[in-house]
Amino acid sequence: MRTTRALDGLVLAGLAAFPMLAPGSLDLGARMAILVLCAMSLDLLVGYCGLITLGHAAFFGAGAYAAGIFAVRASADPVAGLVVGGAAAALLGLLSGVVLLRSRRLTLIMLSLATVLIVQEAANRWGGVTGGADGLQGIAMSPLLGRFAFDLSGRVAYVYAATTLAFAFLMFRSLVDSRFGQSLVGIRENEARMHALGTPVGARLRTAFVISAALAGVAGALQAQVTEFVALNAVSVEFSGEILIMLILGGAGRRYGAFLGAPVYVFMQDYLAREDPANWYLWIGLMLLAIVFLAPGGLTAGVAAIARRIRGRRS
Amino acid sequence: MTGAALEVRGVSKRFGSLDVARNVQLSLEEGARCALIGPNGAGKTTLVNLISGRLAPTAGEIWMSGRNVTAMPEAARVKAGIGRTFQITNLFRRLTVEENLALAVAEQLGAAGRLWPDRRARASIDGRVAGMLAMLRLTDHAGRRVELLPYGVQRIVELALALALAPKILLLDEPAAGVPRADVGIIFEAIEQLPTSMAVLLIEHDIDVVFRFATRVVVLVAGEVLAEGSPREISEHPQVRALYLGDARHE
Ligand SMILES: Nc1ncnc2c1ncn2[C@@H]1O[C@H](COP(=O)(O)OP(=O)(O)O)[C@@H](O)[C@H]1O
Ligand SMILES: [Mg+2]
Repeated sequence: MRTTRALDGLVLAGLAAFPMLAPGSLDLGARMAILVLCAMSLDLLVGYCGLITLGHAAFFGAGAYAAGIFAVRASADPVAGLVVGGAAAALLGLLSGVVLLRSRRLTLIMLSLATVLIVQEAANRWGGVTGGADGLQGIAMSPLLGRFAFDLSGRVAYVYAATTLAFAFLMFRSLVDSRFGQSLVGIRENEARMHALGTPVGARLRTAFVISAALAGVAGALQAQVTEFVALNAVSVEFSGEILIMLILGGAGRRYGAFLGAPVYVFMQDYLAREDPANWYLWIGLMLLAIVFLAPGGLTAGVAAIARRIRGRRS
Repeated sequence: MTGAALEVRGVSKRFGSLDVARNVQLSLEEGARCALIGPNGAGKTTLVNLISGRLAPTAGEIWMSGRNVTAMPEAARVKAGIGRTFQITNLFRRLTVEENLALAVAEQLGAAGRLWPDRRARASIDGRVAGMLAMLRLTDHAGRRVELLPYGVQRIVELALALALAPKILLLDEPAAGVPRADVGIIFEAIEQLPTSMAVLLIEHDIDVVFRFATRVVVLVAGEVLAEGSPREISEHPQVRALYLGDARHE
């Protein structure tokens, strides 16, 4: 419990310290914060509810498009756009959840894939509004809170994304520490028995689904605002897979998985894309295999095991 | 009018061509102590599943306190007051004993849907869990993962989960099956101490236990109620003696 609190503090301190530690990489920092947020939202489903989905990009993309379109057509205020993006994804989560959550395992994976494809095709077809295959252009965000203009160094963008992530983490943390979070774990561990305890399993999962979708939508909105562009691949099966890989890499259902997985994935991607551009997916694949076999709980579990050893040796 | 705590009205269940329950009638008054006996494969577990809402009957109705609950989902029936144990232990194996119980207690207290940590709810959950652990002598195992416990202790956790729901009607499906002799006492002690207002249906093979516990015994054979009555009536029932008691005595 005390360790958890200290690590929570470390996460928040890390977000705050990043601009000092890597002042030249604020763009990268913002991108990572957005991916962490997206992977964290997926963790609610994969890690806590035990629902494997390949559809998370549908929510990310819905948030990105909603925020982008809102910026182009209604208001360029970032915070308002964030709310719009989150709300749009939550609505999609609510509607798709009713259908998807009737199934589990392979069927759920297939239905979640279908959701992404449908949303992607909708974005593609509805080109007049979304920009179709060319992407959504013409987003020009007004200054954050009316005061801080998005600058070239990416400082404002980073602070904006990191602050949003920090708030989202506080929410995520209180959710997983709550009785609700614990009942999701119960559903993950033995869904049938939860029914026999009187748990409204369907309603619990739908709630988790909507919250997860909303957070992914906020991540998408951030991306649309920070890059002032939404590409069609924000709603792709490929991106869905990448988020899942980041989460598994970091460790699902372990609170900090997204914070380790997303940055490591991005680093690897950038590094490998530079060093061995032809084969970088191969390396990512090999790394995943290594994680699955050597540290089944992902990097979080690996780090925890090392920490336990060090502590054991000391005492 | 409010009828019996539980009433099974002409319930039948078919699995393919197999009739596992045939026009079963059963009624439990508030505070009833009823035993359900019958050979293996008689359909006892299936009847528990039908009452608890895990299975839907092919025909017939289930009523609780004058209310038809036949269409009510399992979880809603739990909220309405039905609790049950499983013949084959059915727990949250990777969670600790304490966490297992907290899931049930939180649900029973209506706190399980709370989206943020709540100190007061937590205190009352922890208190109730501690009480259950002490009552069933599980305190020493509180922090251990269920899958690491001996099966006998897991059976006690199984009972604890059902009791934690504070049901009005409790269905116990062979609660002592697989429990070492030394620990059986803990289970039946707990069962004897259940609140007198709780209606209990106990499935149990040990006839001595059955006759000590029950004021009424129902004998199920091949999905049908063969006999029903006081322990004395049942022990004198010729067909039951031939079919069941004779066998059981030889075991
Ligand atoms: N889900 C099921 N599908 C098919 N047959 C079943 C199913 N559940 C139980 N049965 C059959 O129903 C009969 C009664 O089983 P059960 O209710 O477990 O009996 P008991 O608890 O009295 O031993 C058995 O013949 C069993 O094989
Ligand atoms: Mg049985």
